Amino acid sequence: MKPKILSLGMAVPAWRYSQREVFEGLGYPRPFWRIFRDSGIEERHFAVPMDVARGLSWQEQQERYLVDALALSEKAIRQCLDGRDPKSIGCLVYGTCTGYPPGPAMPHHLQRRLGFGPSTYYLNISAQGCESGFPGIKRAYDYVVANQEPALVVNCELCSLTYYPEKPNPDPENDYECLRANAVFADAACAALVGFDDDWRHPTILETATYTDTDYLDDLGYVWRDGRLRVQLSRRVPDLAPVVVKPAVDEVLLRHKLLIKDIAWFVIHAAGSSVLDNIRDALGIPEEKMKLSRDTLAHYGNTSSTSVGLTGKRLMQEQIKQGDYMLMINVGPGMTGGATLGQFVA
Amino acid sequence: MTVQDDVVKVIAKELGVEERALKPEATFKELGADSLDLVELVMAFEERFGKELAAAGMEGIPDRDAAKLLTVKDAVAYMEAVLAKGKQ
Repeated sequence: MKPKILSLGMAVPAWRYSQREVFEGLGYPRPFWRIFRDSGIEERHFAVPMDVARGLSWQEQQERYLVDALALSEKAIRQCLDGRDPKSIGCLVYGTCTGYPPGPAMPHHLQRRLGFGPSTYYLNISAQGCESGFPGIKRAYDYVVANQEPALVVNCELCSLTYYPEKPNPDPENDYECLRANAVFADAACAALVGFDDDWRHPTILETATYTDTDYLDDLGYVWRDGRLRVQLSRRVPDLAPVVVKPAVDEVLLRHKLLIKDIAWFVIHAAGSSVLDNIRDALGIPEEKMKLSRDTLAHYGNTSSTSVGLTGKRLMQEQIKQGDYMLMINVGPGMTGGATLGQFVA
Repeated sequence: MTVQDDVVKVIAKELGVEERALKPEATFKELGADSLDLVELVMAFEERFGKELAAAGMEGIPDRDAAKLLTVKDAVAYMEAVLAKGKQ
């Protein structure tokens, strides 16, 4: 018997902005609107109001992360547990690339707030970027197989709290990397419960595979600049995404002798419209099966590692048929791709 | 110098291609431009033709117009129309 995803929870912060409002709030010159407009995003949520976020020091950003990420993670976890006893959770994996609490780690804080048991095992995944939902699920899977106890995977990204003040605004020296990041990233939390039950509506995790190509180490991530994190987001990221995603996807499909056309549901990291287009074209996914991921992008923006959780949560409300296959696709720095094959079976 | 020469010069500089490679039908996408290159291209047109746009009563190239500039020919025709409007 293989572990299943039993439940999903999600939460977005209260400050909601249209893409036009974000653009105007950032004060970029008018012609750059095109970059925001063509991103596939209509609206986004931020943990702090834009005018406040712009005035914070690195330390203030990180102090706010602890407060806001705890509140948002708690909300997502409570929704995911849906009345289950927190003490039944054997392991909690927490992933983020936007907050770096010096310790105790986020899971310790979450134990105090939610009442996980004193023998719950914690793991903190940091700096694996948008892709960190993949190692989270993989770790939970391994834990459940080894210990026969449910595990919780929590991701919370407050991208708005890594705002970098550009001088000049925008900064051509940085090849507009901050501008492109500011055009897509947003905040959210998600939680996934991995364990065993006999409800076919909860997908069984059949297979996982990952693929890293370090030729593209400098294309995506953060660097330290003037005591802050400054984003690295090269122009070729949309072209590189399929390069690391396809080998991982091919691997999981091959092991189960499946083809793309056999997959009913796709949950793809909603990084941006061109990343989604290129993954679609490289894998040969029909556009109608891109809708769930595109909707996540349109209404929440690129919420980094939480984006697959937001899409997965909505997938659970779709007209799923018993036996349907689903494929989760993650992509992030390294650059790394991750593929998780699931099937809706008892 | 005709408008066409000026437009071609701007495109060649912004997209880093040789002027003689710029056939009128060539789309900016074919010339390797991504969405940011197109933004920079529009800004370069606005800078080069600032006076002409002002004479036509325009602050810059509106977004809805910029979206229609897909080829070298489109850009030349657009700037010629702006010049004609300014002279009225």
